[in-house]
Amino acid sequence: MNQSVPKPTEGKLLTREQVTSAITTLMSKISTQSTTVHEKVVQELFDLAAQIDALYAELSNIQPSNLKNGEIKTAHDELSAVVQATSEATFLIIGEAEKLEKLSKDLPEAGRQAVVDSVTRIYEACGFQDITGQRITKVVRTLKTIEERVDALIQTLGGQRPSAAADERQGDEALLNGPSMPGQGISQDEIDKLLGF
Amino acid sequence: MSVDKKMYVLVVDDFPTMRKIIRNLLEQLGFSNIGEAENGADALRKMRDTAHKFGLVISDWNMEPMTGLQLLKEVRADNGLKATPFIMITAENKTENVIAAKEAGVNNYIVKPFNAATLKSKIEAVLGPIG
Repeated sequence: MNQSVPKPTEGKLLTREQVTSAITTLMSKISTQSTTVHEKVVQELFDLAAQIDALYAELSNIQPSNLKNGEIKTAHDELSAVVQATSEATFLIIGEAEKLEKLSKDLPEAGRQAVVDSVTRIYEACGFQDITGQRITKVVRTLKTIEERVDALIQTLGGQRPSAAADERQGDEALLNGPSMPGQGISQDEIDKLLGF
Repeated sequence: MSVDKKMYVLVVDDFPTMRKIIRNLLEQLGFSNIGEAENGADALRKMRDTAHKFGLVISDWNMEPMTGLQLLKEVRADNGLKATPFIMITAENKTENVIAAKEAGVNNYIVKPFNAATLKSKIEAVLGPIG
């Protein structure tokens, strides 16, 4: 029987079964000629097949699922929250600077100009938020691409999507999670109520 | 002859913070009629739909759904808008960006982060002394 070796389509890996099938087909063709050299080649291919099989098993058991379900998504959300938080803080700073600028109109000319100059420096400095926002957005896009590749890898490895890796930290260490994402955690009012203040 | 500070200026940027900063700096320079748009498509709509003509557009580049460069090309291709002075103000600071903007007909180009003096000098280079 003439079996053809499957070829990967663009941007998509062969599945574990396809790789095994390809190597088996190749070996069956070579093994029909029983020379010493061919026997060595066949043995090498068997070893290679075993190694590829082990690699696939290792990948599907460990890395992709953890990345897909936990770290990448968290990093994506955290960075988006940084952009939001810095934007809100910058708006607040600019708003207060505007108030100072208005109040300065009642000052003598020299004092007024000094305040206006300082406020101008504040406006200029607040431009950082635009720059950092754009840089973070680029990182978020990159993470999104990695996430898509990992997703494709998981599907190639059998389409299994294991649940998120469990947080193995215990005690006080498990309490250190940094600021909550918007909508998560509780407000100061809720904390005050909880503590009875 | 000094710039007419009552002219309408359109500030285009997808970051509200940056729109506010540019607006405040323009107000410090004496401009009082300042409009805002959050992307190229929004800006083009405002330029076409508003009764008054904008005497200056100050636009970011990297925006969706229409970039600053696309906006510039649309403006230059529109008989009613093509003469509008257009300043690009962007973090895109590669040579090819500046060349592309120049070829599209930009009047001046400011790289972020920028300062008030740079903004003033670029506006003056396009419109004349602010006074």
